[in-house]
Parts: sequence; structure tokens; C-alpha cells
Amino acid sequence: MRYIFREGNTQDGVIQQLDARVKLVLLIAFILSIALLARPSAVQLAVCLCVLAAIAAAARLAVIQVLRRALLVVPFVGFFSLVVFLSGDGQRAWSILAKSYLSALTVAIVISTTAFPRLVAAARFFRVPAFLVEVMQLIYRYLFVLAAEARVMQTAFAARGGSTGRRALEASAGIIAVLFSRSYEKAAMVYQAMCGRGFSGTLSRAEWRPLRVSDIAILSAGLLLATVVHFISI
Amino acid sequence: MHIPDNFLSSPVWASLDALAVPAVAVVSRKAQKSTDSNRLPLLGVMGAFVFAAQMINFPVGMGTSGHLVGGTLLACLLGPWAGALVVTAILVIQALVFQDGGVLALGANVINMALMGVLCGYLPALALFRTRWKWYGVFLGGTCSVLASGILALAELALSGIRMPVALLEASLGLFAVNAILEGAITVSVLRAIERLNPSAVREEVVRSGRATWSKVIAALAGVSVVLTAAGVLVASTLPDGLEQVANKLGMPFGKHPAFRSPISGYQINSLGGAWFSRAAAGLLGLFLIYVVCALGGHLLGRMRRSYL
Repeated sequence: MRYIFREGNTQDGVIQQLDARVKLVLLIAFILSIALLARPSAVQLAVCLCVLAAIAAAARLAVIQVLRRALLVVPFVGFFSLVVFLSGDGQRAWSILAKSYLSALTVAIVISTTAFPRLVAAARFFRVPAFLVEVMQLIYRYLFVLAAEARVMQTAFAARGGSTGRRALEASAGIIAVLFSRSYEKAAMVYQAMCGRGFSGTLSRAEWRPLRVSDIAILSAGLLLATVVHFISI
Repeated sequence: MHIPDNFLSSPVWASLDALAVPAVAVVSRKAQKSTDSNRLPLLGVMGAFVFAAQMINFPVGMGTSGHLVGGTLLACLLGPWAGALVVTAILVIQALVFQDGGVLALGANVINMALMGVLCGYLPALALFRTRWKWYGVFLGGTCSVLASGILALAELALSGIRMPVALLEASLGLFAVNAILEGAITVSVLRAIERLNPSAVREEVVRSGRATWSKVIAALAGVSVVLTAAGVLVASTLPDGLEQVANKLGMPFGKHPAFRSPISGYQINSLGGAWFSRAAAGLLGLFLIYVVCALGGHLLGRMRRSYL
């Protein structure tokens, strides 16, 4: 598991204080705009890259770091692009590679400036089923706890000498089984704790204040930018 | 198997998103309905558990290792609806936080892995659960689940016009087959270990909905036919001009993507003029339409249900 966005900054900065709903809309609009560039010219791609880098800078993120983090998708996407390249469509391969990097960069900027629970709460605002949103929030909350537990168990296994072959397969299955029963217990404890705090079947809903002028201004500027890229015909 | 953005062509990802949204709404409703109030924390922690379990490597020899995917395991532990919901939630988190899979391709990934993957994993396990061949059923389930997701993903790529050389296609299918068998083996060994530690965990969920009903038979037929169609598309794509030929033979009008003619065909609105603008406008309009249809559908469905309850 790759901890890509551990050092994001979700507190201060222009982009951070933007309403999460606006950020969700702009995320989709930017990715859509990138996806619809059918045969992008180098200038168009460069403009997208500059816009995204500028946004990262405005969010007071470490721009180089964000750019480098988004590179993590390249090996995986690169393999597929190679397939396209081998099937004889060189230009399409390059554009897929570049566009995938830009999409990854967009997601990286949004996720490192927004708390994830807030982002899915915004999805709830757009009528994503409440139950799905709540499950996502809870998964995200316990994800890192259980991942740390799994890592501890793996270390313990390795420290006791580990093993190879059939035994290793069984041992790994055993690790997962123990992890399961610990998770199961944890779920029961979490439930009791939630009941103690007045849980009645659903989590409390996020409350949204009306959009501020700055939110609306940035929303329209962002949508305009996403469209303008398609005008560039060099 | 997570399809990234920009690999599927617009008609393909848009149709799959349009299919996935109502399906996820139904899954979410069903998963919530089949639950007691302690279900929400259970599903959340189980989702996190699968995330963590995916970190554990299973050595398969020669220095390589695989890991659990988890669809079948979740279906056996939580039931099919809750299993599909948790896998959906995991896919969203992977797309946003870990950059596995694209955002616009989320619909495709949800259909491949959360809906079809869990369905194809759950049904074989269910069918053989009360017989002597219980563990063969679980093994078969794990295998079918990964294989079905893989075939669907490859078929979607082929439909998007990515022509793979036959040798490469065979290689990737072989890789999927190895992964699928591994998933079956891992699911069996994990479930056996869990049963030893906590005997009620497995039996309860699978047996509670263990009767064969018509809806399950229909679901099985639907699953098989979708996978077979995808396999057909895959085979057709390896032949020269395969898809067009198939379309011609079936008497469909000739087109680049005959299966995906829509009112905003080819995603261009002609009257607006200018390729750049029409593409962007058509894309946004399409997305907006999908959203309106889904919101209206959900609203109506909710109202209908309330009135006849």
C-alpha cells in the first residue's frame, strides 16, 4: 500500500478553504476536460500542467513534491501506453500517458488539500447514497489502524524466521484470519462506543453553509479554465 | 485490473457510469435494508480489513507473490449486497486516495469488480455451500470472480479501440488465470482459518440467504451471459476489423461503436459548431443528463416504495 498523501496540507490556503462541494465539481470538470482532449497538442498539455502547478502553488503545497507524487501512476499507465504504442498508434500512446499524468495530478491536488471525509460528505450532497458515504467514511477511518496492525503481524512473522513454500501460504492465511477476528472484535467495540455516544443507525449529516462569493468566483473561474483549454488551437 | 482514466473512450466510460450509478443505488439500498443497526460499523471495519489483508503477500514460488482481492471473501462473510457495497467503497477510496484506477473510469471498475466480481464469486460458493464440495465452491467462486473482472476489463479496453496484439492478449489472459487461481486458493485458506477461529462468521451469512430462488437463477444467467458477451467482444477484437464484421453480420448499422449509439451520438453537438466546444459541451451535457436521470429515478423509486409499503 502506498501512502502517497500523508503530508498533504488540509488546513490553510486558498484552495483548502474552498467549499468541498466546489472542489468536487471542479475535480470532475477538470478530469472530464482532460479526458475530452482528443488529440491534444503539446501546447495544450503544457497549459494544463502550468494551470495545475499554479493551483498547487496557490494551495501552498510543495509543488515539486506533488508533481513527483503524481508520477507514481506512470509505471502502471506506462505499461498500457506501451500496448497502445505497439499496436501502432504512437501519438495516441503519448497523449494517453500525458493525460493520465495530468488526471492523477488533479486528483493528487484535490486529495492533499481536502480531508477525505469532507470530500465524500460533499458527494452525499450530490445524492450519492448516504449508506455508501457512511461506509466509505468508516473504512477510511480504520484503514490506517488495521494496515498498521497487519504490518506489525508481518514483522512478527518475519522476526520468527518466516518460511517459504506451502508453510508460508498457510502462515499468510493465518495472519489474515487473525486480522479478521481482531477486526471483528474491533467492529463490536466501535459499535458499542458509537451507541454510547447516541448512535441510532445513521451518522450525523454534514451541514453546509451557503456558498460564499469567493467559492462562486473560483467555481466559475475553474469551469472557464476547463473550457478554455479546448480553445487553444496551436 | 483497475482501469485508469483516459483509456476507455468517452462512449464506453459514459455508458458504464450511467449503468453503475443506479446499480450502486440499488446495492446500497439492499445492503442497508438487510442489516441490523450494528451493520454500519461492521461494514466499515470489514472494508478496512480487506484493505489491510491486501497488504499481506502470498508467496507463490520463484520469487513472485500475489495478494488477496477480496470480493468473494466479503460476499461470504457479509452477504452479496453488503459485499458489493464494501467493494464499491474500497474502489472509490483507491481511486481518490491511492490513485488506483480513474475517476471517470470508476463506473467501469465498479461494474467489473464490485458488481460482476462479487456476483460471479458469490454464486458458485452459494451453490455448493451445503454439499460436500463446499470448499471447491469457494475456490471456484474466487477464481470466477477474478477471471470475470479481468475479461470484462479487457473487453472494455477492446471496445474503446485499443487493439492488442493476439500474443499480448493471450499473455494477459494467462496472467489473469494465474491470479484467479491464486485468489481462489487464498480465499479458501483464509475462510478455513477464519472458520476455525470463529465458526459462526462464515456460516451465518451464506446460509441465511442460502435457498435457491428464481431471482438467484436469473442473476446467475445474467452474470454468465454478460461474461460470455465480454469474451465474445474480446475474441472479435482480435480478428481483423472484428467488431465491424460482427456488427455487419448481426445486421446492425455500420459504425465505429455500433453498440453505443446515443442521442448525443459520437459526443458532438453539430449545431454549436467547432470541434473543441462541441466535444466539451456534449460531454458536460451528457454527464448532466446522466445525473438528472439518476436523481429523478432515485426520487421516483423512493416515492414508489414508500407508497406501497
